[in-house]
Amino acid sequence: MGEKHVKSAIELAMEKVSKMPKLKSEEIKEHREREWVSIGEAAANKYIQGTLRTTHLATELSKYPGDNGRIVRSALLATLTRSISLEDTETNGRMFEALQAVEPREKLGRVRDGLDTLMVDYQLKKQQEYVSLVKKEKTRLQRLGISGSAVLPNLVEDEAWRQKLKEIIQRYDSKLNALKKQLPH
Amino acid sequence: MKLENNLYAYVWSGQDNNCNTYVLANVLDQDGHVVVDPGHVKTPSTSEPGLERLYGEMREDGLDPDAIGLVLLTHCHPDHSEAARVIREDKQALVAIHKSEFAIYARLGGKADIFLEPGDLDLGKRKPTRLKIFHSPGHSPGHLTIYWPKEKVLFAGDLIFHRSTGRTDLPGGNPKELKRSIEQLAKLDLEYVLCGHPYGHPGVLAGAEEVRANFEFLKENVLF
Repeated sequence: MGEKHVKSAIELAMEKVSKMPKLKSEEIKEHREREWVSIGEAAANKYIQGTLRTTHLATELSKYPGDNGRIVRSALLATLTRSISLEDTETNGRMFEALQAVEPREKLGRVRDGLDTLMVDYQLKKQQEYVSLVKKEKTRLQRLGISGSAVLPNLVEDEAWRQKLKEIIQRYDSKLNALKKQLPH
Repeated sequence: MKLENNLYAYVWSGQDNNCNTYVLANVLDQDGHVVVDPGHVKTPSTSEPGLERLYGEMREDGLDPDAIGLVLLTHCHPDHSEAARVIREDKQALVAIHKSEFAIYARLGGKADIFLEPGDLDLGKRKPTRLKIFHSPGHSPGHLTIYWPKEKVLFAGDLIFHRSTGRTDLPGGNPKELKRSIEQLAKLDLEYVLCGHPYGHPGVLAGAEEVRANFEFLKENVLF
């Protein structure tokens, strides 16, 4: 008596796959590029989290030669650059260290100086607007009969402050992005 | 319960945990009230009505809860602060807390209009009631105590109880800071220490001698 062949899970899976439409060569290329991009991003994120040291970045990149290596390098640089902001000097310092380690021939000093100046400007602007709104809010509280040196209005949920902060961020973001375009990528 | 001219104490007498609440009546303009630590809306284990009870007791004393204009929170723990959110929404009252209590308070759904720092808090325009705000960490990082120099009253929150102190094992608690905070407050000229909880005693320490004896007891037996 002939026994019916019971297909294994892998056979069933392969059958299903064979019936699926074939990927076009561009799609295959895109898919592979995404994989290399994610390797670059992962290395950058390890550095950002502190589990990969500056001195190891070049070694990490050397594992991926050729065109694929260029994709990995580009993704790593882009992720490091994205982490540069107007809020945190320490993080910016680490990102610049990493960028310099990956691209030792690039001169990043001027961009760094530009960023520092922009950061001071941004923080000062934020502070000025904050102080101005605090003063307005204190006047309002005074009219309600609440005053004194112990009183500091909470602007965290204040709509006027949120709006003002959004405007400042938008204005300075465009300047920050212009600086970032001068970084290696 | 009326303690002094504008000062009322609402000692918690339920089965479950909740705090004592204190009211400075008619100290804001248009006779608005200030509430210190309104407590739970409903207690966590047995759902006893906290806020409704407070409102009822205020009405019995002739105080209109609708006239609450400001809530002062000594710290963010929900047994002191939960009802502040409801009072803020229902009575359009402002809520004040120390900045370093705010993150946790906000995570519990609280909103605050004012951060209180050490200094003077003046209430009312015509004849302001002046309170002194002290930063008294130890039970929590941003714990405040509130001193009313004119009436010699200290709103102690969870820093000081009758013959005991607040716990320091909750996140942000620090026994050394608690000791330092209490030692600072022991120097004040006081007739009342109004405690956050009725632990073995209503928590209203009345009279300079009782206040002094309590600080002495803490120094000899509790604070090392």
